Amino acid sequence: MNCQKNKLIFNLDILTEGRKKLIADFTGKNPEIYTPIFEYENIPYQMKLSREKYFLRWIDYHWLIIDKYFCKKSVEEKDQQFLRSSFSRVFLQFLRLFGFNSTEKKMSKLFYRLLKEEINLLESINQAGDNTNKKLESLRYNYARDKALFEREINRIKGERNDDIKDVR
Amino acid sequence: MTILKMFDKLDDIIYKPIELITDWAKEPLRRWEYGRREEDADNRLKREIERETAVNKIESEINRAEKEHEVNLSIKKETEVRRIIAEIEEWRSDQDFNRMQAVSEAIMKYQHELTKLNVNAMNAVGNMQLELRNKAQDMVYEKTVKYKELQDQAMNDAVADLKRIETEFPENETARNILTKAVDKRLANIIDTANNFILELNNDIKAINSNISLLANSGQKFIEEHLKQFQAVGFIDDNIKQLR
Repeated sequence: MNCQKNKLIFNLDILTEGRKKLIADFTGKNPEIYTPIFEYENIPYQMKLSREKYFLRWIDYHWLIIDKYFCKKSVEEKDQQFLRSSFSRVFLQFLRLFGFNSTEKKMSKLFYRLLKEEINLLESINQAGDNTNKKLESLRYNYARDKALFEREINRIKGERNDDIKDVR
Repeated sequence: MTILKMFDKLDDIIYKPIELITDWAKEPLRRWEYGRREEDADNRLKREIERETAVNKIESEINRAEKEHEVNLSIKKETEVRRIIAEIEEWRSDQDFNRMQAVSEAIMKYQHELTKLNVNAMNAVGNMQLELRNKAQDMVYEKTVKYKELQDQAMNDAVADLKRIETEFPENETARNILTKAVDKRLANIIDTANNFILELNNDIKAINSNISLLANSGQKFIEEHLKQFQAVGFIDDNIKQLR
């Protein structure tokens, strides 16, 4: 019973810290949340990927909270393993929201690894999008410049024609 | 050759790479009758074909390497799991071993779990790969639409400008030639550059797809670790000793 209670309190403590981090990120205007909101204002797809990446990172952050907790409370090695294993159920529940469908505790090790890789891959996909955005912007600039030069050319020729008419008169 | 034919060629140049990447619904472009030279369009087409051939070659090489890697990995995984299961079967058929029911049951349970875990791990990795590939593909689609918008705008502007040149300078052939050339160059610039950018994005995504394929390694490592854990615990030896 006591053991169950300890597990529950531990999990609740970690979740509280996780929520604190979430609130601090929003109130403290963490650039990871706010930059994409403006950067991808007109690119909803990239904003969606950034949001997903943030929440995956946040879930992953709970393991860091656990490390800090063990350090602060000087938890013994064998208890650490026990508590980590107990948190892995919570971890799996979180991941169900992101399509990692398994409640089997053994899978949490694999999911832990896949989560990190997914964060990196989402980053690469968004990076490829960013590169394309930059190129698209430079292409738009070149196009606007070419159009302006074309207008200038038309006006120049028109001017020449008017001068010719004046000369004739 | 008429402008109609030249725009037909441009049609190919614009849409070919897009079709390669997405299921973009082809819509007919507007066509106009203006006398134009075909030489530029022909050269562009030739360059485009050469570039596409090179890109296709690289793509097929990447695909081949990816497939080979996947096949090797799955063979390795299958072999390893099969080997362990065969070993377990051997233990089970052993007369002495058969007598030790507790161990035998534990081994059977492990065998069952291992198979289940292997299937689950491969499914998880497979689902994730599929989802990430879709995400990468959606990114290509989203950007291709943006490039296409710009190309369409450039095409419409070019048509409007050509009409304008005809109306404003009907008597001045030199002016018409200079301005028509400028419009032509501007349009070619947009089409060529945008096509190159789409191909570059496609290459970036190909590289990402290769990394997505590598996710299978994580599943492989997970199963290997699980097997090692089983061996490291010395599960069988200890239990046999206990029973003795």
